[in-house]
Amino acid sequence: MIRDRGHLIHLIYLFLGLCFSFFLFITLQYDPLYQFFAIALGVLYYIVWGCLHHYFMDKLTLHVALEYFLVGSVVLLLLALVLGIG
Amino acid sequence: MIGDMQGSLASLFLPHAVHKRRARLISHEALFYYAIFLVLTIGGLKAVSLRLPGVLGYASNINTSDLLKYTNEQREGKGLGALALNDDLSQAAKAKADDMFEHDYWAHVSPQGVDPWYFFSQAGYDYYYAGENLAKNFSDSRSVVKAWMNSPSHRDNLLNTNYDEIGFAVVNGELDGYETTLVVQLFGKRRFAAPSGQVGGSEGQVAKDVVPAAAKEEVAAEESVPLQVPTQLQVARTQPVIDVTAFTRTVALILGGFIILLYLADLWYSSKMGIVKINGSTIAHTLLLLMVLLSVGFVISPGRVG
Repeated sequence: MIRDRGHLIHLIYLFLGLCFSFFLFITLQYDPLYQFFAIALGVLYYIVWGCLHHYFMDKLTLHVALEYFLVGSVVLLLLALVLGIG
Repeated sequence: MIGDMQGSLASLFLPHAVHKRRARLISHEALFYYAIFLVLTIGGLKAVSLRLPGVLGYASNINTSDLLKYTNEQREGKGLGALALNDDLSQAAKAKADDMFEHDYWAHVSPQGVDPWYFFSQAGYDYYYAGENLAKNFSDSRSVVKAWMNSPSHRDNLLNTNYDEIGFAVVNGELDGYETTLVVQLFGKRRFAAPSGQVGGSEGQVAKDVVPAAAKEEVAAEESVPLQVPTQLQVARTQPVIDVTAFTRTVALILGGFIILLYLADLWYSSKMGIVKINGSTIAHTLLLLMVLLSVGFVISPGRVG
């Protein structure tokens, strides 16, 4: 139960971080490069969050960390494609 | 045999109950291949723009009448006076746009070091205050003005009380391999019209709001309407062979949406079958992907201001 609650709190932290990133993204609409960096910041936060979350849950492995990195990379590439960066 | 095929097919989309792994289409290998696919797509677009200039672009329909209307709406909304369209400024704007196409750049100062004020002088506009806003790759006039208003430095230009005249140019052409619609907006106040006690600057003082930014993207033009008489309605309509905005957005939404669906299926099936796997948080992945798809679907505009 405590574990589930901890999980939920961790997710709330992630949600808030991503909301902040999205807010920056919207605020910086006039510059696609800044927009990219805003989401990149969110992705970085997400990867760090993932590692810390699994570390505190005693489930951090290289395999798990790699998964966060790969999902984050796909997300950034999706964004780079649409924003015409690269 | 059929059972094996069904099992193999199911393992593409659903987590494996025995091996306790994610569906193969969201395995590490699959994610890696998605990343490679995206890198190749980005590179492919760049290659097409270089090898087949003009094929890629951004569909647009922009006209100076609407640009003037929306600009003055913004000013009047702030209690400022409307700007009058000026022929000389529009000529200068057109010359600036032509210069950008000719020398293949998109910036306030050309690679040859020519600044915006040169075009004012060339058009015979003796300014006391002057400013320049640029834009490209926008689909319509309203989104151009909206983007300028979203950018602090461009907004300052647009709402500057020192200006009383304005000029526009909307020109289609090829820039960096892409067909592009450039929008140049010039502001000014003639020297002779400046009340001496109001400006408080030395002769030649210029409120040059040379805004940062630079980018290169394009718009493909099927037709290019030259701007012969600046004060007449100028329209730039483009319909590229491949609309980059629609293409990239579609690819991103399909791929991103597909991955999200797989994660949701993973969540549902794992819960249903009681599969406990050691992997990243599916909810976290879904949240991140949702945020980006929202951005791609509703927020991102290919337009750039400078």
